[in-house]
Amino acid sequence: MEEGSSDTNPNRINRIDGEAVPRAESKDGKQHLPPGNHGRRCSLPAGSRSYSKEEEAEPASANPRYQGVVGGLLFIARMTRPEISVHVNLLGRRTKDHTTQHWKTALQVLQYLHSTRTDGLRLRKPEGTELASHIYADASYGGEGARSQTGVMITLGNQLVGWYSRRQDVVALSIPEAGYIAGCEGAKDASWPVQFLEELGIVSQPNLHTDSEGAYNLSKQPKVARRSRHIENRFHYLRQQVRAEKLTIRTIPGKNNPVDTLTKLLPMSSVNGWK
Amino acid sequence: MGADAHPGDDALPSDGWYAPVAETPNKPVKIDGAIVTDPIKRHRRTAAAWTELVGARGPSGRSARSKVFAVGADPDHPTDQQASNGPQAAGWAKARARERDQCMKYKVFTKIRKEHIPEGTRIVDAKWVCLVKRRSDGTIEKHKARNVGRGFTQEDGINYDETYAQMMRPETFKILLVIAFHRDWAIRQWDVVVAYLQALLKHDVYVTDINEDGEVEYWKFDKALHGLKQACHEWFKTLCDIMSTQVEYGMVPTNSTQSLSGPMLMTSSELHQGKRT
Repeated sequence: MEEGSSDTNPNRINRIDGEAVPRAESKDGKQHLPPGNHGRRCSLPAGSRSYSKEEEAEPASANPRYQGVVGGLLFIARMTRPEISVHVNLLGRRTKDHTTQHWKTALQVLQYLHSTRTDGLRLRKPEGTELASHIYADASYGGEGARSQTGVMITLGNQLVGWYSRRQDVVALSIPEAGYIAGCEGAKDASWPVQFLEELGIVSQPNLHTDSEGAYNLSKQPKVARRSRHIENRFHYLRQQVRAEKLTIRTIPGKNNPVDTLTKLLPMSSVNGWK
Repeated sequence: MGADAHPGDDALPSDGWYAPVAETPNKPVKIDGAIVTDPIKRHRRTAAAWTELVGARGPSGRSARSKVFAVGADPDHPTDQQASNGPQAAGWAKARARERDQCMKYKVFTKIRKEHIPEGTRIVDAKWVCLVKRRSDGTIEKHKARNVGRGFTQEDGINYDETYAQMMRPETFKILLVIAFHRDWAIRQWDVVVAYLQALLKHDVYVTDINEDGEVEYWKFDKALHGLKQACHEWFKTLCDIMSTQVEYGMVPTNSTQSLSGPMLMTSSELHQGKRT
């Protein structure tokens, strides 16, 4: 999936370095966006999982406004714009040692937001009488420092209520393991809204959706296999939750998993598909 | 790239708002040993006046004045001096009067003589923060002036202790919205005007500032002032109190998320019964 996106969309990457990127050194410190850009939809940076590849040739240069910009983006990503979560998460790791490339990428995200500023998160009236909660969890294996990226989305009555994109705090040795860790994160995130809803008198058993067959099997079978024996005990929280029937785990095809947009830098065509 | 793009570094145009006020000439000012060449003075008081007012200065007081504020570089966010001497002085005077009226209305403070302040009490410093509020088309909606305590002059354990205030998680908000949609409830929201001025203070807080006639005044605050370290915390406690004790609300905080704040602070017993209309 990752490889495909960078192959089919070479333009996306080039545009980070190209003319479309506004100059950062604005005199009054306000002009982030180039004039005449209004009305055109810009795209988010895509293709590379981390921005580290392009940046190597660039000399390091810290922009004093970087941290503030990323801070603002974090808020936006958390409140109404899930699609920029992964970008902001990647940018947010480099507040101390960012390069020109990171700054440009941050500006590109700003540019994207500006060009799509009428977009937002839309909550509709849930259908049916039950409020079912679904958790979607996914991980992209490997990445910066060999740690995988977790993406989690929480929906209630098919309305997106929570999401995040985060780097896993341990190194996963295999794709199923990364998926299993992501599933565990999803299970943890499921427990809080469920308790909250219970207190409001709404009973809702969460369903955890993962596209990782391996993670599904790991959560169902209590066996210690050669390739899973090293998994830290705490991640078996997922298995325990499944066994206690607090949670139903299901597998879905990867292309049906909306969380893909939270684990990888997908091309805009894929991101737009989930809007 | 970028290293030379500090907003305050460019020479400020000398017309209108940006003009340095008369008594702060554009020359290097020495503040706490650091030479500051910025034409806009950070605070109207000289170091000597400050020492007289606050007495022995704590580390927070020192760092406060050597800190570079962006205030004053933006015409919509003028310093106190720029506001009173600039072309919109009348608007600012009105805004300040409005703020003072609010303080009177909620009996926020009582004027006090300096002799009545217990010996050794840290006196909190105050200042005016001015902001031009604009509509989306750029026209001026109103001038907003707010008397704020400079919280960094407070001392832990004497002027405040707890400062934690809850924030609502975005997920909580969205979950409540979905529930409301699902059950066809109407959604109401409230905004409490000058919330902090209604929050009861636990500690004795003495504040000093220069009044409109240029005299030094001392106040004892009974309710929170914006900028005080504990303002959020005390407001949260006050609001909890009101919502849980008054019969007409009768709300209790949920255990799973006490972090609901503001109007969504608590889930009422009405919510259980779906009585909200």
